[in-house]
Amino acid sequence: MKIKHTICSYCSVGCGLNLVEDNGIITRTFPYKRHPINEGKNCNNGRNIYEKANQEIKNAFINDKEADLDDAIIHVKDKLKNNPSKTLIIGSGKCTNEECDALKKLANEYGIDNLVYPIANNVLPLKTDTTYDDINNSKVILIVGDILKENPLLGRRIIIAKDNGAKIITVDTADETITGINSDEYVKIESIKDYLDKIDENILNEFDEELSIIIGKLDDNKDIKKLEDLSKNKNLKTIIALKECNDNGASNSLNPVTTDELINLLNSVDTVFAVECDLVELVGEDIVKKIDFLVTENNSFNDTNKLSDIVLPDVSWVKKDGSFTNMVGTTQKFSKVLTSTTPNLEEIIEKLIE
Amino acid sequence: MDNEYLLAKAKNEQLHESGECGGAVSSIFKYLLDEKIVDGVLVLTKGEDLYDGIPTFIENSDEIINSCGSLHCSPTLYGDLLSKELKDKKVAISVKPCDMMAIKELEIRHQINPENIITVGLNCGGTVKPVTAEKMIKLFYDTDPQDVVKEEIDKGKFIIELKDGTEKSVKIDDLEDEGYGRRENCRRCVNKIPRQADLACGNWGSANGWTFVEVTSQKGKEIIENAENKGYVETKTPGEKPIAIRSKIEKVMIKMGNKFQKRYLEKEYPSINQWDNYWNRCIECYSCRDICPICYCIGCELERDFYKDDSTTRNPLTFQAVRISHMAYSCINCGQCEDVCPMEIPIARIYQRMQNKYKEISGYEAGHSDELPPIYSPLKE
Repeated sequence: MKIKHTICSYCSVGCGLNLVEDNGIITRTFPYKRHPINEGKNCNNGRNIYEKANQEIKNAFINDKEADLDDAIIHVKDKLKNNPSKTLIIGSGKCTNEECDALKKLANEYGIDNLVYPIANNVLPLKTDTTYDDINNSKVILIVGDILKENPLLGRRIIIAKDNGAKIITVDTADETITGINSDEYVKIESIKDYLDKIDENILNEFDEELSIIIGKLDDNKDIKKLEDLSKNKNLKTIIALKECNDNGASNSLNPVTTDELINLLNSVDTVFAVECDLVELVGEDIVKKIDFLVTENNSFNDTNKLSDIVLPDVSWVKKDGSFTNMVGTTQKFSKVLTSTTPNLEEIIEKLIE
Repeated sequence: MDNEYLLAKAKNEQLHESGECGGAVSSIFKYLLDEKIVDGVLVLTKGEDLYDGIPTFIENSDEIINSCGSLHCSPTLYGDLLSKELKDKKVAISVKPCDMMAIKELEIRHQINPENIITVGLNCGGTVKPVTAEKMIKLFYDTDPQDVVKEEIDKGKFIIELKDGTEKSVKIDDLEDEGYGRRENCRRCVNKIPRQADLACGNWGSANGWTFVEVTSQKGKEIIENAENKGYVETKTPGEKPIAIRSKIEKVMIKMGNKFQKRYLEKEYPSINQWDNYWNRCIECYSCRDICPICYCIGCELERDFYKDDSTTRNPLTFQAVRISHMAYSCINCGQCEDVCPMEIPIARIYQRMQNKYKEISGYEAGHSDELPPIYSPLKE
């Protein structure tokens, strides 16, 4: 029985997590109280993520049949060489920074320009110097989305601020949200875009520089630019709550795309190499079926693997060394907790570049 | 048996130097491992730094040295590691009073076999959350937390020893007035010496380089006698004065605990409206249920489908009420539920308050009684 540190891979808060290892299997999580972001507190999703820790796809598959990895690699190399302008590499905000760098290297090696990763809720990473402790000390916080539900350990900072006397204003499209019922003001809106268009009149003049803004979702990803300008001009503390654990770090190597943008790209290429994402879940089966040649790499089987021409092996983050960059730009390294003989994404990419 | 008092220290020079107050506890563990009396020893070892205590199962006695020294800034609890991952092992374990109370509750629920464990108790004046400790060391001691090599709670002060050998101390009262210092549940704790363990050890009343040991069970008596006979520890009988000092420290600490209970559970106890606000925060994440060392049922009432049905109106009060009705009678005030609550609900207060009331009525003191609480349903087993 051993207890080892890791970083939670569920969302982009970047919580610390202790994993209990018993006879080579992760059996559960244990509070990591030394971790400065969450102090041993985790949400239900974070505590249950140990179930994914043991995952791996051990072998390569060609047309749904177990295959020799070297054969699969040769096959993929041929396809990648074939027509780089008609090839799309899709990474993921679940990939480590090192894996994203490796994907970039792979794209460069083959002259592939289409190198993307999907983002959720139309929120793009925002370069910010805001820290979680800034939220604790805010006087007024304007929130878009149900942060307490979706990112509870960011929500905790809102609760701490509230206990410190901050005024909390939440806007959302739902009738009631957990963040809403814990706010001093809840504003039900029809459109986030319309609300943000009028944000100057609504809020900013009243509170000016004492305001922090936390955004969990947007109608239009172009509004990020507006928020960025607003933050700079008004010197606001702004946090964009991203979905995946490394959505922020991935943007250093890969181009973030919305689901609509991804669909357009998928319709314009022949060959797709998709890593750590379930395309069927993202864009639907019909679009995936139309892909001429699909290579996927995941650490557990999903619906997209079934439609793939080639499936390559991978292991969970717990079996890798790497780093994630959280929503406030903190890069946290983690070491492998379990060892595995299964090749991981970085090793597969090395083979593809050889 | 009548409890006996001893002063003990390690005979092994390295353990004597590195261990807390003469390394008697480390030496007892070494003896138990070398003689194969246990499969392993469950202790805290230092992870990244002094603020990162990690429960570690040591099976090789050469590694006992890694567990030397106190880590007051690591408020972990061991009970569930014994009842889950280590349930088939013979284990010696160092226990704070709350660890021991959790073990006791799990024993009477047949989740831990007392025959399989040896408990070496450690007196406890309270623990500090690691992140709080770092912040307060910066703020009140004007010191880089990484320059601290040792910390200790003694004579009402939190004392730090620095790399250069100097010491700095601040009164715990002053730290706690500003929202730092010990965890809230530790402040309210009135169990300072874990006498339900086989041995209760600590520095209260001990001479420099010696551990004060209260021998609290026949098993404990045999262990310390055999450890001495085999040359692991040296013991001597304390005089009247050390015994009186230890007793006085315990009484002062209990008095402080009672004072804090009055403050947090009566005078400053949240109003019904404040509790309503707290329950509104609850995201029903199950953290409090899952961390509770006593809560063990395999088929939990809270797993029923109607609690998970998204279409039903959210009602955290029902979730909390079910938990309280099941667990408050057995609350040992370990504070783990509050530690792990993402929404900062001061939940341990309601549990300790209810157990206190239940104790008054039924006589059942969680973590101390040999029988199950009167309300306990045998159907749960």
